[in-house]
Amino acid sequence: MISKMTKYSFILLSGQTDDFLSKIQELGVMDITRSRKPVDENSARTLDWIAESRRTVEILEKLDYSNDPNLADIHKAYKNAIVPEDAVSFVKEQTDALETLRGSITAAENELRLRAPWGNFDSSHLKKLALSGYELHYYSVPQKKFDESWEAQYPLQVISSDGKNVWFVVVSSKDEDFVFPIAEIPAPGGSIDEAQEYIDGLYYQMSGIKGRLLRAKDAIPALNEEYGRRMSELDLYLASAASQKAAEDMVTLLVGFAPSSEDGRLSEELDKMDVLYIAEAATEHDNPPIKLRNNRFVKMFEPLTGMYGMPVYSEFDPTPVLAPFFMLFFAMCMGDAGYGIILMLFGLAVHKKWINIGMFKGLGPLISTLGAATFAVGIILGTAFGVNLYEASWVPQGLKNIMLVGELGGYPTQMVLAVGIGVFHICLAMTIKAIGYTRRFGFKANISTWGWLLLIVGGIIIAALSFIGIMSSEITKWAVIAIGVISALGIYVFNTPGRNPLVNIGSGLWDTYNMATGLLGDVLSYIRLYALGLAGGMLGAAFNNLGNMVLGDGGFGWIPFVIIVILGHTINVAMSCLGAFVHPLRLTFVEYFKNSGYEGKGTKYNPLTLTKTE
Amino acid sequence: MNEILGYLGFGLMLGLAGIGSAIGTTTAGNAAEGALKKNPEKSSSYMILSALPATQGLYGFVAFLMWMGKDFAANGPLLFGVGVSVGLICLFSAIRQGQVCANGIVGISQGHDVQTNTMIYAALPEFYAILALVAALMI
Repeated sequence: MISKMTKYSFILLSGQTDDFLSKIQELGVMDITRSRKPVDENSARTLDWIAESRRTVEILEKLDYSNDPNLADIHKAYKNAIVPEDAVSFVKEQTDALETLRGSITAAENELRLRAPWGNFDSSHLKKLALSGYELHYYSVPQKKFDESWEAQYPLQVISSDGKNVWFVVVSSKDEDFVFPIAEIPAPGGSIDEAQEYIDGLYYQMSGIKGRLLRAKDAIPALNEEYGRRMSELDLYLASAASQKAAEDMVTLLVGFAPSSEDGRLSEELDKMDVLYIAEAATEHDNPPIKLRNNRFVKMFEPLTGMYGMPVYSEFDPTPVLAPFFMLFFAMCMGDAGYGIILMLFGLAVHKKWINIGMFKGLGPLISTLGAATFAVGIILGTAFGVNLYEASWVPQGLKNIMLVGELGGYPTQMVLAVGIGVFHICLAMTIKAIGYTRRFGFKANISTWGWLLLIVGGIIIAALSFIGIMSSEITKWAVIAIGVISALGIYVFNTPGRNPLVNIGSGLWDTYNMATGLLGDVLSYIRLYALGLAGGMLGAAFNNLGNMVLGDGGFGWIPFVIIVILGHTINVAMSCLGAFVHPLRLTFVEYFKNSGYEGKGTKYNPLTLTKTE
Repeated sequence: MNEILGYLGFGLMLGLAGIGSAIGTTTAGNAAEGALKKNPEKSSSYMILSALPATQGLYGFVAFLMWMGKDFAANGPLLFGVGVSVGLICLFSAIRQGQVCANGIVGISQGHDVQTNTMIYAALPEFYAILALVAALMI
């Protein structure tokens, strides 16, 4: 259900605007028509700050140095750290410095590895050697290429070898023309002790930064408060920016919408303020924001409607129809009673906050409901944890009687069920389209729609009735002819009254082509409900088989059996859930919304309030 | 020989359809990744459009299930012919549908209101995969 909205038009003196908007903000139910995006530099800057501060809080909340080897140093830095007022830029500075340090440490550790073969030495000795007129040449060759005779020919000293390579130096006087068969490598920049010292210094700096970042965590509550404040400030700013000025900027015009249920309270409050306002019932033309009002069950599915787009004011709210069918489709795609139980427990855990994953926040009841439906449908389809319940001996016969197995007309019963549900869903969509469009645009504009509805739904009902045997073939024949004639008149001749009948017939033929190809495709699309359910069930059975093979005769076989079964079914649950979420959503958004003529171009109701979370 | 042909057709029908869906959904998914960087608000639209090319693989699988009881030795060449054609249709249908969806996703990320029309254009190549499925079920 879409809540009825009342449109308020305000005229106030320009000087009163800010005061007025603050009072409206306190009331918290008026959606002043305003832009949702920044309109100028000021608002853009505020939005940037808001985004930065969100990121900062996220980074700070994720900080965890409890496993850091330099914990003691970090703690010392933490005690001495002082965080300035502007926590956001402080954190950015520190994280940037941390990144640079990490790069330096990697480079330094590389350098350490290069120096390792040269061991420890005193750089000052090298300097003395250079002053005396000698220089050192450094070489590294693979062990095989090392020629022992070199040691006799040149003043050579092997520094180290690790079996694969040999590192050695050759001394020469500065004046002589020194030539050696192998190419020289650069001298080590210093001893390994020096390199290690440098690295330790860098790590110490890093601990300092980490300590300061830990201290910055204290700023999180202040940041959150500031964030809330700036959000409502931005909202106010955008609302006043949306106002229209008149009478040489002396007067400001504002438009707002509020649910009609608040009419009494609002008129009281507004009368107390010094503003001139007109309250009238909102019409589709005004494009009022949409507030959905549904019972507890349907309310859980409102986020799904939000994903596509809110209904336009004069449309039907699709959520009450979306809810039961999405639940049914989800259950058919999961197709396993055991997984239904797992989902019910998971939903309970999310609701009680035992499991706290950001993505599922607030979705606990929805998950449990879907799990319950999956359990029921899983029993009907005869699968639990990949086990075929129909062929299991421990299942009572009473339960087996409600399971759908076997074939119907040459095709598996479950497949026929999926297609049948599809046909029903589409017929429902077409009926809703006919009723909705007639309500919005009048009967004359929709004769063609009613004609198609009569033809298809009427045809199916008659086919069903004659199949069951209620109607005799005589009556069926006449009924078919009657329906055919009436609907043909509606589709081909009268589809747009007042237009050239030949053009009508032409457009009727075009409609026929679209309907024939479109409907066939849409109905067959529902086969995926059968396919996905079957695939999930077979994958579960495959994991069970794998487990059984490993189990063998028992004994130690139980351990791999349990591991395989638990791992396998967990993977299967996750993947089935993904498929069972996406494909029913696609069926609803594409097949159902298209056939029910749903536009979904409405905007969400977003009143000016003091506390903002988005 | 007949049996080998029959099995070949059987396998190609499933395999090519699955490959098509894999490529199609990947094309659309890659576009969605880029679109998320530009306009993360519409992520649900991207998800729906990315899922559209998944249909052909499902159709190949359903046809596979329907054919499991067939006599491959007796109908080998027939099953080969139909199987390969169904597989090829689903392959190209899914790949091209993925490209249409990818363009739609890019359009939505740029702020154009093209979701409904994209779904209609995406359904056009899908129609031929449906015809292929019906053909596979009819023999």
